[in-house]
Amino acid sequence: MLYLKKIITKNFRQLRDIELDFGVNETKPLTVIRAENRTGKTTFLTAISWALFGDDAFRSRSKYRMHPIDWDEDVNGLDVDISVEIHFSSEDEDTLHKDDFILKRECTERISKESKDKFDVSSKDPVLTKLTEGGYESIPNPSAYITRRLFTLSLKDIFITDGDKTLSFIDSDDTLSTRKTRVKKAVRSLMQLEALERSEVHLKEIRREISRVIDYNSNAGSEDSGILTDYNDLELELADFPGTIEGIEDAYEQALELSSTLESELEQAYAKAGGDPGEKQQTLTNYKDLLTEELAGISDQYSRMSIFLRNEVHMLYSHFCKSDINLLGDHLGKMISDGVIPDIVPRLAKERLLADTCICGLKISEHPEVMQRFEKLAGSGSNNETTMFLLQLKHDIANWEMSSDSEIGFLRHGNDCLSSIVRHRSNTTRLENGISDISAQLDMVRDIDIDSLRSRRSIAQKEEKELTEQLARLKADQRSKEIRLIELKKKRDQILKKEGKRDIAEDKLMGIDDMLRVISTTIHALGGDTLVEVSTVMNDIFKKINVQDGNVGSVIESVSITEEHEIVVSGINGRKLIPSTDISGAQKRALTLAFIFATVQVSGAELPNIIDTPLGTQSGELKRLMLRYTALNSKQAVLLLTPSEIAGVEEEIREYTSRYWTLSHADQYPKELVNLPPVDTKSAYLCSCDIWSSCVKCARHVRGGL
Amino acid sequence: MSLPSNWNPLVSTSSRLAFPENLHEKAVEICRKARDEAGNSKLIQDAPFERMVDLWMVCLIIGRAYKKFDPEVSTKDFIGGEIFQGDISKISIILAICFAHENMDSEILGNSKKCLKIANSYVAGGLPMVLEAIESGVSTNIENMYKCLINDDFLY
Repeated sequence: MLYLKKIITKNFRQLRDIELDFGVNETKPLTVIRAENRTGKTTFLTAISWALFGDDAFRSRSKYRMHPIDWDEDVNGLDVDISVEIHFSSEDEDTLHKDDFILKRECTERISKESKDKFDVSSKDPVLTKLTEGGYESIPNPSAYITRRLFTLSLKDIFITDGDKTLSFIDSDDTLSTRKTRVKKAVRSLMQLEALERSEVHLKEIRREISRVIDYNSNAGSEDSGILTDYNDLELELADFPGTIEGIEDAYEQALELSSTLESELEQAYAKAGGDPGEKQQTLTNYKDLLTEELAGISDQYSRMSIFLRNEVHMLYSHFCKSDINLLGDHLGKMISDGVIPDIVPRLAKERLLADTCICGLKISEHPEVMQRFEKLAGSGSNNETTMFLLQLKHDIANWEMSSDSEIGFLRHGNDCLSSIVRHRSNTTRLENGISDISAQLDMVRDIDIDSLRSRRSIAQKEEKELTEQLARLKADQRSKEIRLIELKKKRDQILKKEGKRDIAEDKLMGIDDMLRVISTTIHALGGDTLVEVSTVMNDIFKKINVQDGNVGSVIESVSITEEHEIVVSGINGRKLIPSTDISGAQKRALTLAFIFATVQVSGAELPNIIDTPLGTQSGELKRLMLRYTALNSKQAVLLLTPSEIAGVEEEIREYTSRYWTLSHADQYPKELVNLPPVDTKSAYLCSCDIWSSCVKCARHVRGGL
Repeated sequence: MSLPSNWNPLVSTSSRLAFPENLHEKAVEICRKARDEAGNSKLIQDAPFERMVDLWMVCLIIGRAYKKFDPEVSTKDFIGGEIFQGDISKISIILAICFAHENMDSEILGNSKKCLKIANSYVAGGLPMVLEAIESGVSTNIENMYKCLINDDFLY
């Protein structure tokens, strides 16, 4: 069992200067570090991982800034010396003898002068020192010593866990095959199956070497030597095939799964959008164009109506004043028939004057008094303009009477306009509703990049196809080479038999083949048996710590791990529940912890559990059960807990905790911290306050906090 | 013989087209020639009449049709009879109404002052009806007015 005793950090991000002792007490195995979010909890885990495993602890070390973000190059220079020192003891399970060690890992990050975001890393070899009676003994090759004898890298995610990220075993954005691989690696690592597999590979190499040496020492002629060489070369070549094929099969499975996932995401997006979003968008555009046309149609009718009121107002008159028009028409008709209009006397008199002849034949110019009379008559009569107007009015009345007809007059015009407007308005309403509906549907998928999904699906499908073809070619190649190998083996055996060396070779190789068979069988058996055992234990643990949440609407009957390393949850009548949607967040966390504890229990590996926010948003009984289980099933556990996680489990913490710390961060002053922090940089700092107390360093404003 | 195209007996230096003084502002609001406070021309649906003379003509016709004659109301004029220059059709309607009002006495046809007085009095009677038609419905002003005119739906 490995026990952590102390950690000392220097310039590791916000953990600039931290020294912390861990509790080492089997009856009270918990060390509780009370810490709000953003105080450095995750950084604390990373510091431990880096100390133990170096750069292997990161996916991409070059992207992980280790030096403090507020490092002042002007004051402190461009080079930042970073170190994490861990004091631990390793207890032999048989003799119970404990050895104490100090592990120190250092590096220097040189900040770029041009950009603070860039830096170069210069790592140093870790130093592992063992405390002996004679003093300190330096352990050579510390990394290998740690990973082979104390804490293998593949166990990192099991024992050093971010409570939120542990959910990646059952519920994450990764594909199912990636999650299965994660579970598979965790299980196999705990059973040391990797070591066996390494032995298997090593033995196969030895076997080939023996074969090659035997053939090399043969006295065969050049042709026979050629056969022996070909045989060895082909055997070597064939040895690589299983690994290559497995790699391609894994890649194919991932591509297949990715393409299915993308297909499913696209289907969901289509379902949310009520169809192909691209087509929906086009429809939306069309609707908007049509809406513009309909609104323009209404405007056109308004224009028509307004123009009518300006230019066709006579139609309005002929519609509303029919009685007037009739009376006028009758009156004017009588005036005309009575000869009042037009008055013809002046016209006749003028004609007579022009003709210089009276109707009686008298020559007018010879009779001045007659001419005077005619002249007087020519200039007489009613006002010409008035007469002309009345005649014009008679003409207008005829037109007005015609346009009062409802088929062509104001009523026809008015009804046409209004019915057009009604039609346009109805279309407008329909289009606006359509636009609203489609916009709402497209809003549902606004954050989904459909084009990207399609493109990625296409790439995944193409990759699937390429991998299928590649696999087929590879397997065909393998088969033909295996056939060739059989042929060559026959010839080889004949050659060796000729030389009397065949039996020697067979004896040596037989022994190795026996060993290979044993190892292969053991790997297979351990793998299968282990899986079953972990599955059973996981189910037992889950039932102990899970509290059925009636609000979720599903009842979990059992949990298990399949042969394909998938963690499955079964409801009533064996119905398979989907972790991401059918079980609550609390149950997911409980399930994940059940898996981790099951693998730990079955393996018998004894390592400290270091968990950041293990309880998450649990509440009530489930939280108490999880905490109690952790305490009872760990020899040492370091828990980084937020105050909200602590709430409700204070008594359990008191019962099982031997060491308390509080971690605060200077950046939280003055909004959250009451007093000025004891550091003048943006860094975290410790005090030894337990969960019931606070001091000048860690006192926080009351809001349900510390 | 026919009337010359520029014939306009309504030109008068002393008489002008007018609306009742108390409704003059409302009359302006439903005409687009007058701009809104921001200097923008109004929308057709809100201001059905392009010019105030267009409104005046409609009020005249409605006033005559419903025999709403109000010679006593105080008025505010806005333009002279010269607005009808070249528009024989409108002159014809105005004079026809005046002729009918004077019981077919053709003497009125030579008296532009009296003609405009008669016309303004009918406008004074017709304007409240037109305003009521515009404000009574739930659609746009122009639609309300048309519906009222088509359905003969005046409550005034």
